[in-house]
Amino acid sequence: MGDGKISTAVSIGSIKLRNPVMTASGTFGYGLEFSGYMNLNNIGAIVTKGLAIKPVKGNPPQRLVETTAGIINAIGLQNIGVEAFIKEKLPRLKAYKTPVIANIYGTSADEYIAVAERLASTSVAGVEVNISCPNVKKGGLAFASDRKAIKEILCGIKKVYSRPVIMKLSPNVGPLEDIARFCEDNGADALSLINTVVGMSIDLEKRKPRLANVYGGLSGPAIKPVALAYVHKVSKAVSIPVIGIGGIMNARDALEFIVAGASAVQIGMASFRDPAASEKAAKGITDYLAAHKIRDIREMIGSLSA
Amino acid sequence: MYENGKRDNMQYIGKVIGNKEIAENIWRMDIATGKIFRPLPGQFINVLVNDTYEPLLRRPFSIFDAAIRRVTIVYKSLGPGTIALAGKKSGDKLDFIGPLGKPYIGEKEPRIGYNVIVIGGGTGAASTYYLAKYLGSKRIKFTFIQGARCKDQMVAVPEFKKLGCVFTTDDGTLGKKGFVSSALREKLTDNSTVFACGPKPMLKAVKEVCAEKKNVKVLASFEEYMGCGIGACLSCVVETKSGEYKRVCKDGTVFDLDEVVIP
Repeated sequence: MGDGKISTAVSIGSIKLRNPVMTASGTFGYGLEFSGYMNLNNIGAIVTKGLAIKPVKGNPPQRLVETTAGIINAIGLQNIGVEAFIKEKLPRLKAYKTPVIANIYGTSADEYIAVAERLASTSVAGVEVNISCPNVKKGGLAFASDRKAIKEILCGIKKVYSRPVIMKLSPNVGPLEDIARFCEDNGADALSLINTVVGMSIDLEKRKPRLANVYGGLSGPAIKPVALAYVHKVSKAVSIPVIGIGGIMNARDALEFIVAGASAVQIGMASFRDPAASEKAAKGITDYLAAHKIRDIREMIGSLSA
Repeated sequence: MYENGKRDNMQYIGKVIGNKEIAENIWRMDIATGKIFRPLPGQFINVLVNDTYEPLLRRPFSIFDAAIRRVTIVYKSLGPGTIALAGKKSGDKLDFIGPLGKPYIGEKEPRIGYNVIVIGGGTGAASTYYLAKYLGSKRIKFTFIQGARCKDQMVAVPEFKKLGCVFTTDDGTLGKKGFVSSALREKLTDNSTVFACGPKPMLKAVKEVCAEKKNVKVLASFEEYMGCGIGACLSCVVETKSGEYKRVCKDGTVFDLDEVVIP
């Protein structure tokens, strides 16, 4: 991409990314939905919609609502299931050079492990473990701060899955440094944060919640400062790579996360506003490095002045 | 598609070439698309209404009319998105994606019965105009019915009149007094194909009337709260009779009413 002298490559464990821009799970479908708007080869990695061992129906509508500089969603992890993903989506994703990371979740440790085991013999480059979805009763947020459950899920996955395992953390359980260290100590290869922030929207005239699920997860520019603070704190607490997520709309936002300590970033709901947002952010990073005469993106990781 | 590096990008930077209020709070916007744009009836575009994060999401609009390098939408200025859109002037740039969604009929079909009825209600009726023009261009005869609360809420009356449209209003200020469902009942026969677009209570009424005859196929365009418009966010779902959720933006907007549950 662009000037050959500039390196935008980063690593997440053994996964080599051509640039630090990934997509955030749940905002990029299975990747293929975006092929009419951007070149999927121009981003660092594709992270899929969360996959469960069986298809999941999801929550009743209304599932999403726009708020000030954000959206709240309560999709309820609707997905086609790991088998359909492997049969229908993965072969088509192989046409691209970009690594595919499968976001996975379950309602019990055994289900998480079963999904990872099923993916072990596929071309998926790594798994991102969702222990932080605020919109489902079982699994999701219930596991976000439960050390026994995290250990069982993480150690179980590591036994059956040899490629990198990324733990996706929730801001809804308070400070994350201790949980981050706990994940690192139990074999996590990287951490991604933050998942959405629990939120609510009310229709005043009807005096009803706008979302059928009442609560949902807030994302978008509204949560960017919160996410930056979490990424800054967690990246100082651990030595494994941290992937920054939360309200990143463009290259400048992405670079702020990298300066705060993130090795890579994920573009989330920005892909709803502009389906080419991730590709544009990746190009913008190269342009920024060129304009500032920085030869390697890695010089910027955690480069915040005190 | 971008597969193998070939570009057929569905993102357009168009230019507003007309934007005016044609009825109470109802606006018509004509957009020069720049590159070739070939939608089918029932498809929509998803428009970025401004450069700030208020509102943050695009706004979907069904296609009212289109030519090779021009697209027209008709919209009600109601909330922050459509009010921002109403403020656009000729010459303003407009970022939109499309054409999106499954149409009423494909390019090669129509596998449709001999008695074709097109029925629209409120501003949702916008998509039926392009459908009616399309059917006309294929030399398919059809009955055209449009309904609204009152005359002031009726979309693009002169354009619809030219296509031989029958009007109904709840208060009788234009055409027949009453609901579109009564006008439909008069025209409906066994083996009809009905294309419908409008609010859910109208679709429910249409479905009930159509059940009175044998072998009537109803293809209806749906509207639900959209996040992305391209099938990724899974916000705009309707439930099917088999208990799954289908995406209005990608699996629709047009569904066979036999397949979906109208909430």
